[in-house]
Amino acid sequence: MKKEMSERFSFIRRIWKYPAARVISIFLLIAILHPFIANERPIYCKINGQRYFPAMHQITTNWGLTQWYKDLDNFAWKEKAYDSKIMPLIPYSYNTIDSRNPKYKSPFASQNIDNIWQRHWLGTDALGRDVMAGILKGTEIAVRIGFTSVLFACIIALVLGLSSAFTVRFPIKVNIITAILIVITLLSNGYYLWYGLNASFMMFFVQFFSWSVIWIVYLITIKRFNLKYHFIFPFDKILIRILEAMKSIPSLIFILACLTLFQSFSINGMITLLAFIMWPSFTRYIRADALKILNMDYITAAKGYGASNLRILWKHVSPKVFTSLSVLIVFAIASAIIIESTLSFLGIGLPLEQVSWGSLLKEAKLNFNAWWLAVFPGIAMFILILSLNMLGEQIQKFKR
Amino acid sequence: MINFIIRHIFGALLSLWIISMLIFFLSKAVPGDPVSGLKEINEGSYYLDYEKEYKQKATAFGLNLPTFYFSLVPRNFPKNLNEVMPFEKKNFVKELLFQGYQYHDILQYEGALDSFLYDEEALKLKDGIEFDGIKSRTDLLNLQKELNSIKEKSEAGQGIISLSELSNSIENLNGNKTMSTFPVFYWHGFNNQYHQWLSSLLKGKPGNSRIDGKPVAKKISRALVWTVFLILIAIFFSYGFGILLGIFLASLEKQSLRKWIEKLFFGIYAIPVFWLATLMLVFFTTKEYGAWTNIFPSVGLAPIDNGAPWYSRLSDFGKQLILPCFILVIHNLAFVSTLVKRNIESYKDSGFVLMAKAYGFKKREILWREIFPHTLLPIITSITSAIPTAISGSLVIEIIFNIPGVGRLLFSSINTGDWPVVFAVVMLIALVTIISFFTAEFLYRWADPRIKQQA
Repeated sequence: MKKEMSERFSFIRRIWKYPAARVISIFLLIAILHPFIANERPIYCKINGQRYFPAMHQITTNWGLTQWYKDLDNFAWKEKAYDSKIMPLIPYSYNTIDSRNPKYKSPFASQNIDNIWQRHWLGTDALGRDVMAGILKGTEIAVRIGFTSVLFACIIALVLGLSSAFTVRFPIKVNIITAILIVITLLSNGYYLWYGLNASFMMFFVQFFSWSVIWIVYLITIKRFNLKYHFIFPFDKILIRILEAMKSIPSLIFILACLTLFQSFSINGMITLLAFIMWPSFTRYIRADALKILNMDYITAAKGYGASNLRILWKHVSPKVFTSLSVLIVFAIASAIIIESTLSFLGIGLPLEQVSWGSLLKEAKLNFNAWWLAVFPGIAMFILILSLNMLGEQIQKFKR
Repeated sequence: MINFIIRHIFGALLSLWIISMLIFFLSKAVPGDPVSGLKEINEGSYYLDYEKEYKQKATAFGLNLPTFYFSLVPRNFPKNLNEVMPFEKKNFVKELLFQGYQYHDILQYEGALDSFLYDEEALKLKDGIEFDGIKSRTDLLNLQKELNSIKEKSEAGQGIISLSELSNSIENLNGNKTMSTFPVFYWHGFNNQYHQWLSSLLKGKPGNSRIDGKPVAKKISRALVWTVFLILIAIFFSYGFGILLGIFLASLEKQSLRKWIEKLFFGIYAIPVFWLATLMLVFFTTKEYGAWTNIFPSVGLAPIDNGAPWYSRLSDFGKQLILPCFILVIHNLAFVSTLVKRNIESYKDSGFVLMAKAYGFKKREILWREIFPHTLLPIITSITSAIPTAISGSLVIEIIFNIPGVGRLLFSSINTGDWPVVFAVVMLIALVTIISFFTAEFLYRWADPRIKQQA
């Protein structure tokens, strides 16, 4: 156990040497800590002798852990009479409308501000929102969508890819009665799922329960009969067909087709959709890799000394698959971020009020004078994608 | 070989079939009325006229047919629910069906409800029941109680026939209500929406657009010219220059220059296409940043005079397409040249190269005769997957630069819910993609004799 842990840490330590990994971790930090860097609410303030921590409190309130202060309203932060306060570095939230600096204030133009801290370092957009704060919020969106969608795609792909590779190496033989029973069970569950979605789930649970009773009884009694007709369940072939079909629809076009179903996506919807698009390539890769590993001698040896199937997959196959998968993961994160920002740029991805790098760039298209809207969000995105690509490249190199 | 071809064609057809099902059911799952735009036209007319007209229009689109070859529904459902029209009525009937009421009872109830609503005597009983909402009420037990209370309260209410008919029909509904949800299997034969759509697509007649009534095939073919042009230019230039650049890079003696070019390409590859396009648009199509930056014409294809001589027309087109093409090419170029360079380098120290050197071949001969054939395999892989990628790329470019290609057609028809167009475009793209994968397999066999021996 100890050795394993140290090996895992050595992998991280080796990655940490690369500057690209450090840049990515800075982006991750910004994604987590951006409410403390750019916020219209003070980090700490004292009003009428009462101490408040509005920035922190806002986050916990959003998570539903706390209730907002009863004696303090959540707007007009600039006008409040403070005894003392500590403001974040940028005293604007991503959605704060600075009515004194509207209509595309350039970063170099003279701005209507009281002191140097209130300056819009990267300019403002049409409504007077701070671009820097928008970029920081966009970082959170991009990182969240990129990393979590790849995580979900990876989990789906690991389950499907490993099991399909396993069924190729060690085919699952079922007798014909079991096969028929499986098909009927699936059909019944699908039908009652449809029915439950429209009417009530009561019947779904009833049939689910009765099927589980039938299966338990069946599995207990089947051992007494010696059924000879064997039937290899073509799990792998079905999966390959689905993968092939998924591969032949370009991802952007598939997203567009899905858009009509949902009109616009929440962030979680976007993550689900991206995961759904990415899982085929992951599954293909994992399946091929796992098949190579499963054909090695030490797997046969493990099978010989009586290791269970799950143990073989978990202890012997998945660690090896994962080291080579890490390259794909890094590149996939980059492509997920690109897809998300492209959609926001076209105005069809996330809801319109959601600030992200793509939506900031979209505003640049409306006004060609505002070069800062075209340049700075793009640079942030460029740096993240470049460092992800570089990291992928470097992992590939040290693997060799 | 024949075995191989048959197997692959079969696989490709199966994939296409899966895609067609996916897209078809995706379109069926879209919320909202499929016959759109009709309600606004007939706002003033009577409900019955509206229903009649709706039925006409829906039948013209084939929306009254069953959705698929078979259906698996509860016992109280009718064989074909799609015949119930219009959309609101269908939803209402469906909701009642899911509550377990019998289909013919529901139809009876609908009729009684209509005659009740148009009965002038009944309209006098305004109290106790909301007439506006009654058409969409599905809590029939409560409705029956309300009707009964009206009857009991007023003596006038007992004389109205339509009211007693309505409450009778509701009683009937509740009497025949079933709790059984066991499914029944219905076979619809080939006269269904999916089959009709697929067969018309296979015949090459994907129907008419639902928005402007123009034939879909014409719409697509007009848009296809632009997209094919963009994609061909992008692939031709990026692969032509990319391969040459990669070879040049691999044989470059000066290490420092080579590293810089590599880094430059790596950076270019990390620039998202749409950002590059935005930058170019902002800086190189306007006069805002000095006259010298106004290199390219502004966005959107200006109408081109058809009477002009071909060379002037070509130059007009060219001027407007230079920027989009440049953006598409440069992104691919970085990728291809890096790929080629890396492959050449990985073969540089192989045994066969050393032997060729020992024989005394020239450097150029070794590069082209010995190493280059080996780099063909990854190029083939990338060129076939480049076509779908280029379609996605050109979609973004078309939308940004306002080019009336397939991508923008798809984008706009999805926004307006013009499903016949969307169907056809997505199937076309899937077909192109599958064909390109299919050709990749052949090219592989041609380029790598080792595969042939294995199989």
